[in-house]
Amino acid sequence: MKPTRRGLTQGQPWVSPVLGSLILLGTVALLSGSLVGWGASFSGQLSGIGSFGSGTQLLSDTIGGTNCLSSSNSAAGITTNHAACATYPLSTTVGSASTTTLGNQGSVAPTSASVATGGTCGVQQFVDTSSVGTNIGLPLGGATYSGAGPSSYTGSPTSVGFDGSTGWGETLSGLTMPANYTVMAWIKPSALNGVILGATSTQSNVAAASADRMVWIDAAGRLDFGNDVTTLRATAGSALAVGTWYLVVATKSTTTGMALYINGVLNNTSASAGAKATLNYTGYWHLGWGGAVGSAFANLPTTDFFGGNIADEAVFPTALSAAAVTTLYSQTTQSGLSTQVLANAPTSYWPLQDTGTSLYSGAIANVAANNTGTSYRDSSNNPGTNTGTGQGAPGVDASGPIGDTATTFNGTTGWIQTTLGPPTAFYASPGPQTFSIAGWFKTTTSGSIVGFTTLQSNAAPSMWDRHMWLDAAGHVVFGVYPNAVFEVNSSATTAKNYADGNWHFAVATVAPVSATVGTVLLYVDGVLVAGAVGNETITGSNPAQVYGGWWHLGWSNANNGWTDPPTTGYWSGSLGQIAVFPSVLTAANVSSLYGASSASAYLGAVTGGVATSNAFWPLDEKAQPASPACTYIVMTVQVGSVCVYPLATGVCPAVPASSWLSMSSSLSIALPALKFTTATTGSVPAAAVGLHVSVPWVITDGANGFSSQLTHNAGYVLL
Amino acid sequence: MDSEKKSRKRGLIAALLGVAALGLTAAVTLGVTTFSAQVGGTGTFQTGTLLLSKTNASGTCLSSANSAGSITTNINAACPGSDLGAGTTNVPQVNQTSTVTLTNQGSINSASGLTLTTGACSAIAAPYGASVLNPLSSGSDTAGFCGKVDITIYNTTAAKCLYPAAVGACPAPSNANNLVTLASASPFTLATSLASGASVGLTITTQLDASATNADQGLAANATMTYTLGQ
Repeated sequence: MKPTRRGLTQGQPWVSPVLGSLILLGTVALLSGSLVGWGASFSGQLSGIGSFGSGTQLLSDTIGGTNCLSSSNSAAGITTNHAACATYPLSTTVGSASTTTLGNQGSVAPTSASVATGGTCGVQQFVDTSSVGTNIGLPLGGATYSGAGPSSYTGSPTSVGFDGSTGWGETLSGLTMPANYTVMAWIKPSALNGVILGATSTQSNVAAASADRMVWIDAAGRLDFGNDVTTLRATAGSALAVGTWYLVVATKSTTTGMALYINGVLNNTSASAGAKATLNYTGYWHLGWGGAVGSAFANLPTTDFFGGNIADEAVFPTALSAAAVTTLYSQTTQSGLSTQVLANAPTSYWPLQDTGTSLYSGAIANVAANNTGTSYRDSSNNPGTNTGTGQGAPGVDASGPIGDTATTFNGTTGWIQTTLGPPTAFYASPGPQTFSIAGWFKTTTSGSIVGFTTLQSNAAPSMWDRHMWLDAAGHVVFGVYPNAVFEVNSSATTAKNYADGNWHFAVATVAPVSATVGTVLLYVDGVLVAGAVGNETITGSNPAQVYGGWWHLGWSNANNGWTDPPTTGYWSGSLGQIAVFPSVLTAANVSSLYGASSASAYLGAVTGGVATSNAFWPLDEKAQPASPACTYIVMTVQVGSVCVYPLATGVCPAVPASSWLSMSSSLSIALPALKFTTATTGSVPAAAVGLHVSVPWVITDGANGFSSQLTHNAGYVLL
Repeated sequence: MDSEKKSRKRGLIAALLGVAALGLTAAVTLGVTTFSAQVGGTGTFQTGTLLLSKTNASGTCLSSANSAGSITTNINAACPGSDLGAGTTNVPQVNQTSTVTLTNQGSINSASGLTLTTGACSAIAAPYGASVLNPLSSGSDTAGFCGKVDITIYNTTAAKCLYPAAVGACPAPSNANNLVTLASASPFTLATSLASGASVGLTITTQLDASATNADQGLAANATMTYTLGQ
């Protein structure tokens, strides 16, 4: 038997030194588990990919079946994660509700979301880009934006569409109508009817004392140009066709008369005396409308409204030459035409390339702001039942308490009258005997915060108590009349002057202890400053006077008959978040209300979270919009089943009269549905009817540093 | 006994002395002409094994494939799972923690210890959460993403921060230590020696930095992590 490399067996008489060494090495390796020192080594190695992935935060909304995603999904990837959506969350028809469905299309759930108006409310406009540049056009009725422009142009020119029955453009500036002039427009008629452009002596689209300088399409499809009382008709062989773009230019000169060009070619002229005549008046240009029907011109259309598309409408203060007209027509781009138009110094030039995103907030003739009837909602557990009505023009304090806005009072005439008096519900006669009043105030002088009297008005009442005011020293005082004057005054514990221009929170509580004793407590800024249990002596079994009455905000009759009265029955300063409870708030309750850090938190606290309120006036009605037209449209915004504008519990109430289309701050929301409801308020002036009222909307959500945003700014509500 | 037998005998004696010198008691009997003895059983020459295992949230993998082909290179370059955690929905300023355990599964001790080498980081678009409306969206910041993934590595066995190097616990993740700087600081010694059966635990904390923007959405940063157990 031969020796093997694996071992030795009996009968092997010798072992080589080499083999011995191997045995030694192997044995050492086997038993020590180490080969260190013998050159070759063992090693174990493993690898993997360490991977870290970030999530995506993408917001979408769907309005009327049209989706919009916050990222463009372009090859460039997400950068701003902010999309401008083509849709609009409000229905075009005022008085209607519209739902926007939000969706999270990313992998990360948002931790916050909000909705806000993203700019000033205004009306949409047709921009005037002439050197004069002040004759803005206002679209009305069935005018639509961003239609296709002249087909002969390269690029992507656009146009405005007119529906042929309601759509037109009003201009803002009354001008002395020129004796020499040129009017120009690209048109694509959808019907052989209507006025392309015309001047009348009135701004609106009603019959006017003077009307001429107009171009229309007659029933034969031929263009007509009316000046003074003369009609220049296009030739019989040049009838227009529906659906075809034409560049129409009409010139009038006091020396050469009238001329009509179609697509840069002179079509017809008139050098008659009538063609050279000038009808003098101050008037307004109308886009897509003119006062032709019923006029003395020949070949009249059957409607003054143009149906089809119009682009690059302009008025020049001279009769352009044929060469100039040819040059205008020879352009191949909208920008080229624009350059040539401006080179001829137009007095007005409406390119009509508008997208509906440029808003006008200035004055509009015969459209005064609707600044009457300001109401103050009741958001208590009896929502909407005790609405307040502003008297003496209360204003808006943008820096209200707890991050909200507030209402200002002028100290002489301003106050808020409430709706409910006896014998209705909580306000039935007599007034409450166990109750609390809470509210935020800011002032620099003495005055009345709240009061209860026998009259709804602020006339001299027969009985009055349950008043809260600041006395001449700036101390907070609360008074009731248990058949005798009884006051609690913050001066009992502090000399602090609360008329310091800062926001303070006052709470008064009243409750009977027995037939002869009551408890009246006063808290300021969460701290008990006056009163103690059983501090009130009662004569007549009730801690407050027995009568039916109304609450008054920003006014009381405390300046009559009280021991430490205010210097006036009115309030000079701001008030906010005033609530009345049919219960006694505890010190802990008061502390909780004082600690509410936001309007929504306070709302929750006064509608059951801390106590149930009978009346709650947030007094955060927003600032009236700058645009007069916007003051005729109000709205509510509801998230799921909760109203967020105005902030309220449960679903939105009927649209409040001062819940303007503009919101002063963003509102927290939750996915997935927003419901916008609009209504008109006040008596809408005839001159405002048909205006395109719009405010941009911004909807955002985010998670930590990731955010996504949708902007809607190309829609409107038709007033 | 001739000279050749003398030589063989000297070799055998040397070998036996070597074994004896190590104090070994293995039952090995060597037969020579001048001895008459029997070996009871089989004398075996056997090598030790050096194997490394790694356990993360996705499971355990071994440095050897343990296939029918047995140990060859003893290198496994395709361990499953991510040692940086499984999250694909990270947002800025929210950290995630993963645990990695490395064990010497071999029969011999490692005297040269265990190291971690991290490769260069690269970022790719990884549009998680696709939907009908969002089929493709990822951020565009593939160039900067790796530098916005903050990381710390804590050696739970040694109770010290491995990256950034610190005594005791690791600091909160910050942009000073990210997947780009990590590669520069590599390799890291996880253990200077590792006995058979012994383990080293790592806690790896990652966080998308506060400087991340929307352009850092839907991206994945990848870096090779290689663990080597030496003899």
